[in-house]
Amino acid sequence: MLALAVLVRIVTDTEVVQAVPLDQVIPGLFGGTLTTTIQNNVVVPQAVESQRLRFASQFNSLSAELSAAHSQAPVPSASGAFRFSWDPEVDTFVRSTEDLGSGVAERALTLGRHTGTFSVSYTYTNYDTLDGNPLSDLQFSQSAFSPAFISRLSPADQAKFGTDLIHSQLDMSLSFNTVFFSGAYGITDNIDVSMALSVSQATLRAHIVSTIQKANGSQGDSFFLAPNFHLAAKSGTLCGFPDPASTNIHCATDGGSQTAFGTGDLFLRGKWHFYNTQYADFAVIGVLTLPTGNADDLLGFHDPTFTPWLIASKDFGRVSPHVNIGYAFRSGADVSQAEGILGADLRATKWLTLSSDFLGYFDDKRDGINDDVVQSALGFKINPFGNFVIGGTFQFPLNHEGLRADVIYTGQVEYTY
Amino acid sequence: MSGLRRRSAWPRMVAAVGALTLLSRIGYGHAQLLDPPAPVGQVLEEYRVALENKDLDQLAGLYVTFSDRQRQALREYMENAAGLTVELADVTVAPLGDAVAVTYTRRDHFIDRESGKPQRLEVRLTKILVPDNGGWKITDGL
Repeated sequence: MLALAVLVRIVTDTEVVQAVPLDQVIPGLFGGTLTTTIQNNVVVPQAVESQRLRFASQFNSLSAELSAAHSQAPVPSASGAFRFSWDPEVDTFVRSTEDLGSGVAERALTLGRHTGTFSVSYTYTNYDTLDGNPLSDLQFSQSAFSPAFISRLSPADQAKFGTDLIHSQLDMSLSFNTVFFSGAYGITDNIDVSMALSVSQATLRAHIVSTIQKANGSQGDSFFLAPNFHLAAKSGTLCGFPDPASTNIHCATDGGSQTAFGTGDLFLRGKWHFYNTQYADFAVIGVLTLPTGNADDLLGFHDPTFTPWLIASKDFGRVSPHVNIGYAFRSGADVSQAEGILGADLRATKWLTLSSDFLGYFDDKRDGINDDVVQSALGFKINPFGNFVIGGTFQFPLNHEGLRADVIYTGQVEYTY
Repeated sequence: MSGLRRRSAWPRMVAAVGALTLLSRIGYGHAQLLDPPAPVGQVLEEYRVALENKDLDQLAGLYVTFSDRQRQALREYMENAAGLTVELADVTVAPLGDAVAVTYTRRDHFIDRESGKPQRLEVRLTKILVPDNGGWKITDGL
């Protein structure tokens, strides 16, 4: 009860303090626009123009992609290792010889009738790069004036101001601490149901410096509008200390930081192990996610999603390969994806299983943001005693596309009853 | 207010489920005997007792063939199952030429020595029993 009270208190406090949703922190830098002028310190309407900042629009459309990226740290799967099943060849129940399973992939094996599992896992994701560029040094450039504005200037001014650029250098960080609580139960020997709910803390920090400069990096001829050396923007300041004699009106800066805490989406899952062959056993899984997480705070999807999966796996001695193929149907506010996992588990000892997987996520919306994400995962599961399983998984990026973490860490404790 | 009372759908649903259950019983009735003939029942009881007593030789004697692999799997199961009790329920017998097909639900209760946890396993099985020296022996399963 005390823990619950503390949790409620944290959530309530966070909501009171939080003024801006997480997905608006970066689009909200400078209020999304900066005003440029060709006449310093003089407000002449014909000489000024508002510039919608390109990075603001880009990050505005990133929220759905971030939700998808965050969901790509999969719900840890139940091991299903502690079960008995009927073996018709020897006409008796036999203890499963399955290994402890992969931390990220599903196997065709179900838990078995009246067998249940409960697990708690912790995942830490700190995003490091966007399209291969470090998040601490993202660069954006755009013209300081629109072509229409330039066309109204004299030929001399066109030559002078027409090549000016607003160059923005963004230093940002985004991290998630996520705890997953999941439970699974075998309704029959071949059908499981499970549910999972996460609690996440997301922290986003951003600091930007925008300068007016030429393409070669030299100082530009135009200025940010700053009457009385106060930047004409919803937020932000001129760089450094205001100095009437200085030229720092070529440089503006802004920053913001927000932390959100709350539940993620609710995962409801059903699994049917429906067919066995000599080389592969098959199961289908349906995963319904309900948008209980706040999408504006990057904690979940905007709408319900449904993901059907086809699972194939088989034990060949100590090695158990598996393939998972699925498609996440999501609304237009989110991003639908084809998803796949290919890998194998190795039963190193009776109490230790090692796993290796490749994970792929392929957007149907080809907008150039996180379209094709390919990861690798290395993991282990240990059965230290009784029906407990402890596991760890490390995910690494195999391509540079989109918003990526160098390593995604997951630790898991599971109990089977 | 219309003054009309909405009738609950539950009584009709319960009646429909009841009727379907009765019909399904009638459908099976012509092919299956709900109570096993005494000799068949005796084999099943010997099978149950042999499992509970973990008597592999007695169990093997109830089968036409009993492979080493089967013996090994049963030995491992029995060694791990502390306080094993076996229940055979819902037995039905259907003639199959000279043989009979016996269908039953087997429920095993025991303490899993490996985890220390109580286990309750249940499976619905069909076995073929053939005449053998005036009795019956288990040949195969479905």
